[in-house]
Amino acid sequence: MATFAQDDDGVVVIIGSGAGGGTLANALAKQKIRSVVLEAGKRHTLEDIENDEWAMFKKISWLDKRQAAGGWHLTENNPTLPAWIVKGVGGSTVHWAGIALRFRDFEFKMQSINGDIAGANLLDWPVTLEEMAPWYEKAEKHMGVTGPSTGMAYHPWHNSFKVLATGAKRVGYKEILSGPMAINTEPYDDRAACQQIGFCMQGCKMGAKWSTLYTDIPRAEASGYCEVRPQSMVLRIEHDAKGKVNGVVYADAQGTIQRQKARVVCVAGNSIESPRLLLNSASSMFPDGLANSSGQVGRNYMTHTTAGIFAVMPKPVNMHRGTTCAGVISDESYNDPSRGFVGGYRLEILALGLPFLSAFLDPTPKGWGRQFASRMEKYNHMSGVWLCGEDLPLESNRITLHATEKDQYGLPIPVVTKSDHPMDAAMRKHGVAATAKCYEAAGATEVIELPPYPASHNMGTNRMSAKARDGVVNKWGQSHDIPNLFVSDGSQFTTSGGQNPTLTIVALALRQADQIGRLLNERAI
Amino acid sequence: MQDPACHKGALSRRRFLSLTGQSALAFSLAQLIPVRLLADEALPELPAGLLRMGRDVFPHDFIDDAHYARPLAELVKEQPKLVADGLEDLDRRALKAHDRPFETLDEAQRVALLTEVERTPFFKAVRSNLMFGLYDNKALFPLFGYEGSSWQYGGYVNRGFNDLDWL
Repeated sequence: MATFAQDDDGVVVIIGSGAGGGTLANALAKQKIRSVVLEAGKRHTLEDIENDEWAMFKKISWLDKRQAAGGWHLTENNPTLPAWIVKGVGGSTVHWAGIALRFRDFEFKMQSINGDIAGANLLDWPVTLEEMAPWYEKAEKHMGVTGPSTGMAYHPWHNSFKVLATGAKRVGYKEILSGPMAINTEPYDDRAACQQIGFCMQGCKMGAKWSTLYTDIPRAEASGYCEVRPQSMVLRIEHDAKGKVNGVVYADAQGTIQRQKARVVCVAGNSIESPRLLLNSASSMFPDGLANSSGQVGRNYMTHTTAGIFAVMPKPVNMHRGTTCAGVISDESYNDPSRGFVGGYRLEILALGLPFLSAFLDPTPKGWGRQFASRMEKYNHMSGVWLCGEDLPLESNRITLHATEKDQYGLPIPVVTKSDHPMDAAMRKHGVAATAKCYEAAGATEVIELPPYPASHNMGTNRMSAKARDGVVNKWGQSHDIPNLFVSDGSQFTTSGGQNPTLTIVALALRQADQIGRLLNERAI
Repeated sequence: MQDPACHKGALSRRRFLSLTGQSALAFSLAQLIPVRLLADEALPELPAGLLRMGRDVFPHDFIDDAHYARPLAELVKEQPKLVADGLEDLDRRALKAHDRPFETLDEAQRVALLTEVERTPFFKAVRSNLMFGLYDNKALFPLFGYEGSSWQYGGYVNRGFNDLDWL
């Protein structure tokens, strides 16, 4: 494994090791481009992974203090944990459930298709599906996504999906599929086939689910072109007198301040930490934060329009048995404004264990008493869906720095402000009703709506735009203001789409690596 | 175990047995699974009203008092003042509304008083403590039909992930 000197100013510094940063490091290594990956969290191995919801939550989650604000229910019910993401090597690819969906064509051009929508800060992506299609295919092969790109079969239907799919067919839905998933159904890429363990989101114990923790990261390190430094929390990015970035300051595992020089800096800390870092890097030359001439850094925070919907069935389902999210109903995933909202949503099967069901079934102050307990007693009769739909970008939904409260590094904690656009609320209502219809058609005796979980899909806070005044980065994720500063995670998303974000993050990272290689060769950065 | 006259004292054996008695008609599965304490096994001492309140927050007739009492005893140890003040407040409300301490009220009366205090730090602490104590308790998983960790058995690929046949 290579190590690079801190005064080596020829390296690409990548901040974060998840779907964006981990993929990018490996793709750069394949081009013999040297990188240093600074990861805030620890490095875990498959040995550390347990089939235990709370144990893994405590082990891998990003638990540094954050503050939820705005109209979403988390402000009251989860005030210090608005997002449910990972702090560790592999980032949130350790936690993700493996659903690997492409954006649809219309989802890259929501503004031109739907026009301006009052209250939303809608914008087209500077990229089209046509341009992304080959990168999606590369990403699917890279991650091992079931379906046409790899030829791997979709997952066999488990009990919970059988229930949902039966109801979906009865109400006339047609697009019913147990994938595509980046979870092997046969040995692929030196990783085993899924054993239906049922703890995908606690880290896949057998590595059947793609994660940079045991693919891209060790492979990049083995190449000799990448050094990963875990427990390295980047505090700020520095720049030279010409306004180009030239290094980062970070705290190591002992809390000692270190400085790594850089030729290029790529920010991939997920959509809360990435804008926070740019804002915390404000200087006399960039008083509003780096890459922020548009004022859009931290704005347009999106989480997807979501809800949990759990049905009580007349006989046992045992939803905890099998791949957590292997089941998607897609009939509602098109742009049909006659429904009262733009964009689409998918119904995704999602199982919770008993411990997490108790935490999410009703997190409001009303979540106790006879009704709550009797619902918990129906645990093994339940089947559950997670709604994943387009979430409109609002300028007022944003990441800001707390005025007074500091974290363990002395940095202002992030304040995560989020409220629904009326169309988000309309979509949620529509999706909950659609799910209830499916479950009722399958014989459900009760259908329960859960408020959104803390957000695992976080997007949009350093968005791509064709014009510098509308966003933070260009179509390559390159800062409009600072040519050797890139954003490599989901914060680049111009709009959220109604698709789980990981596949698009990976496709963008592979494409960005190609572009960085080209620019380095041309000595343009 | 002592049987103190003072109603703020330890949980009495008599009271323990009477509360446990409610689960005499317990869920049949409970009898098959060794989750019951022997009657002689010491139950943690709890201030009066706390076990009653805990059983009202998450009422499961098939779960023994001991499984409520153990996590609650931890809470008392960690936050004695919060618990003592919270229970005192509950009793004050009970005496005002019904002239009797909280623990002696009927369920509807107790639930009404608990609803009044459901947003207090005391109530939230009890609720959170029991959420972990009951639903993240591996000994109780089988009572809910949850099977817990599966990787060591090879997951469910050969153990019923798709055995549903009643649709």
